[in-house]
Amino acid sequence: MQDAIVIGDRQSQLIAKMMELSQRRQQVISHNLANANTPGYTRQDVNFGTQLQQALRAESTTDFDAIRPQVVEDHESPARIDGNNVEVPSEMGEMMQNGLTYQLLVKAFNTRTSILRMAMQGAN
Amino acid sequence: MDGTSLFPAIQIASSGLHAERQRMEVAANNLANARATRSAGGQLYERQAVLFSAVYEDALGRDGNDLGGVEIQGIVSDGRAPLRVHAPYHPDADKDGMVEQANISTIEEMMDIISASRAYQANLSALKQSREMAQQTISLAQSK
Repeated sequence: MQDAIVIGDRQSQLIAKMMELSQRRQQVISHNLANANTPGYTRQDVNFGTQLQQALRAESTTDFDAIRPQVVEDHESPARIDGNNVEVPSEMGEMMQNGLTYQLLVKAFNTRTSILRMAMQGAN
Repeated sequence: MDGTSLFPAIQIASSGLHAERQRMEVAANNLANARATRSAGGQLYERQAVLFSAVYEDALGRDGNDLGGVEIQGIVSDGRAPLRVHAPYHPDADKDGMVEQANISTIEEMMDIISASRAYQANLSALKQSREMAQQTISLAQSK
């Protein structure tokens, strides 16, 4: 695990990857909201849960790069009469959750760097 | 669009804003012409409708499986039969005293305006959220 301590270690890579996934999710939610009134539109979703789990179980660091968020169509949500199945409130909820996740990731990254900085400066 | 761009989904959210704004303008125009008996060229005003369609290409126009927001495919006439009202005093009345008006329901247009305005708000929230994410990205690893 301690192959590269300063910045490219496994945890940092994981945080960076999850930030990328979070940005992708933001794109998809924005796309759903932009098409909330497009007749016949099927809402899109990002799928990376299983890939992330597999990468977390594996020990090598290269696995995070292999995670590619897949944009899939969500046919399970019930469609309105115009064939559109975007529900604005649930998209907004998901977006809020995603924003908080991103905030958390930024916080995690910043905490890590500040610990490193502290270690480099010493206690003074 | 690159998945790791600094400002995620700015183009998508702004396309949504643009489309909803256009929809509201068209609805307002319909409302304004609800009692019109003639328009340019002597033709009767017809209710206009906006056609939305989802875009799946990136900012460079490369067709693919990426998300590009929404676009307005066109503004088309509704095609409903005009409303015939008995008004013999009207200058546009025919020999039976009937006047043809645009067939516009004010309730329908008001609904459209409310729906467009709510959707505009939702897209604006998406834009704000994207901006916040970009700000947080910039603030990464900054010392306090």
